[in-house]
Amino acid sequence: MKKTATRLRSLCAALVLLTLLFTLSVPAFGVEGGFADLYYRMNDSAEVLTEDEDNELEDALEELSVRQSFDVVIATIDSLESVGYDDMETYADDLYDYCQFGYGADMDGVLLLVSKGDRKWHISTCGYGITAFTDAGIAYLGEQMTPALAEGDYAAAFRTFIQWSDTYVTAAREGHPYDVKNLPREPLSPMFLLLALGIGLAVAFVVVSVMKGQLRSVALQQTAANYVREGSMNVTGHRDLFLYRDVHRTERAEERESSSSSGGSSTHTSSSGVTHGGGGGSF
Amino acid sequence: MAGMLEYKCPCCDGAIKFDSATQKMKCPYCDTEFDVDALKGYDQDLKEDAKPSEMEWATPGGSWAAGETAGLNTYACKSCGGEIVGDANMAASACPFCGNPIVLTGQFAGALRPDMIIPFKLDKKAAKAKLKEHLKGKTLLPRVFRSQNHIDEIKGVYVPFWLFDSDADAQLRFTATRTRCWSDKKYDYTETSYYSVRRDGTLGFDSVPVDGSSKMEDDLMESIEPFGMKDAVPFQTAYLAGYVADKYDVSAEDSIERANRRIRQSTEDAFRQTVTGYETVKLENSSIQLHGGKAKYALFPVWLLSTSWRGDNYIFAMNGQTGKFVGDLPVDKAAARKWMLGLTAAITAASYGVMWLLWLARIL
Repeated sequence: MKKTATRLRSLCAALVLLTLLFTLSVPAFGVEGGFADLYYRMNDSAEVLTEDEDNELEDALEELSVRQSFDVVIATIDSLESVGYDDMETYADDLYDYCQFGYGADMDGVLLLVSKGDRKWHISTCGYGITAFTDAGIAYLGEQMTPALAEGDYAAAFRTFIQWSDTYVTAAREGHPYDVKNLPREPLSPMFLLLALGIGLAVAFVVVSVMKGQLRSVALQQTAANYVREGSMNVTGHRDLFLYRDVHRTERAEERESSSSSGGSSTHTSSSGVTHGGGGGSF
Repeated sequence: MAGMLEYKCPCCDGAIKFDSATQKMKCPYCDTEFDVDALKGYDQDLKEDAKPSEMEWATPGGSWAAGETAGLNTYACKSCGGEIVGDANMAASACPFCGNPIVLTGQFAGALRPDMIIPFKLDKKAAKAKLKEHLKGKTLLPRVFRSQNHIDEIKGVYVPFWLFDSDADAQLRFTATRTRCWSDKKYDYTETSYYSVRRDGTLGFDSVPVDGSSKMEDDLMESIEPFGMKDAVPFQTAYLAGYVADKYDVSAEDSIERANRRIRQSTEDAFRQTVTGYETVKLENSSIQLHGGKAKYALFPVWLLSTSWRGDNYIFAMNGQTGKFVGDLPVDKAAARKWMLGLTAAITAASYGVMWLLWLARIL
């Protein structure tokens, strides 16, 4: 199984390379249903996964893509140089276009490209993917994946990607795609329970101390303020002498750009004339 | 040897005492009232009458060990002849047999004579009412203490106080800071300016009291301050009738340190308040000279109530002039624990709820 898969995958890679190298200007040829089934959705050229992980992810991607009628694809490469590109976005778009991923006329789908050598990732969206994966959504997805990617645990990062992709598409189909004002959120951290307990203890301690304080009324007087002869205070000399000043400066926290972003997805057109969305980052 | 005095009613020969409600001497038997001033002359006559008592006792039985009797004096009650035993400082008391109030004249003779006295304004009933009030509204007071509370002893005591008058010359130096904040596009700035502030001046103090009795706890006595000197009158032994009184046993020299400390603190506080317009003010150096110091000897009225509960003694004191009531009370430890647990749980739940709401509102 693995052998055929590798052979098929190399075939796909060779095809892509060939097409890219020699027929960059060839227009996309649309075939009803797409060629997606010809290629594996888990395209591990960089060989970062074990055979078991490869199969497991392939199955998960297949199940998800078919269930949602939305192609979810993952590809890894050794480096951009090895594929003759210098831009993640262009390669991701071209890979998506030339391998004919995507459901329906709009080629609905999303592709995650990870370059092992460059330590970069990029998500390319197409068709309905542009709606489901907003810029903010992609940035958030990146935040979720990068820790695992940075540790070299690619399988975990890809599982995260598959899970969130499912959630993103479902949310979009329900009419509220994850965006600036509607990002998926961590549940309230248990730290807050500890914090609440701390507040509870502190306030209770203060209140009980006050109650105990009511029971104590005997103490030495510190001052003789009650016995100051009225009008006897006489200030005979006063001098306020300026000594020196020192100035501290602290850098102002930069305002977060995302708060001013209106959300949505930015799009561009790939070399084959297809509109893509997406974004990426490093790990 | 101290003589002993009983004020006898000129009408019925009953023992009369000072009545705080009318501020007069009153005979409890025939209700005749006498002005205290009118008694001044009478007081004088009585003193001239009183010859030094011969008090040579043949003690029956065993003899006293050396020093054992040093602090003890015995007197014979003029009404019933009963023997009254008191310590060397006792100046006024009541006969334990017939209950007649007595005053020991010798205790306040010569240099020991108080300069002034503030007569009792509030009576025993007021003290009891104040105690009830004192026990109210205290959540952690053991319930049993309140319900079972019975006063073991309640007595009106004239407590000897030293009053110090003094003028303070102060030279104080403070370090003060003023801060200013502003910002530009990139930075927030905080500018702190440091000042050396000097204040010289004088401040006068009148009648700073220091407890002159070693039997009375200093903190208890200072807690019922202040006593208002407007009610102080020149001392007359007649005021002591019906109350307990002691003469001082802590000398003025030994008491002055306590007064100095309070005067010093007050002077610093008062001048610190003239340093205005700064964010922080810190005292760097203080030099305070007290001069023109005068000490007066006064008796102040105090109601003392004592009770015992679970083997501990609790003493309450009430200012016999102003009614200020103090006294530490026991803590119900079980109730305190319950409150602590309950409050912690409630406040934790409430604040966690608020955190959830904030989370839902996307603020957290």
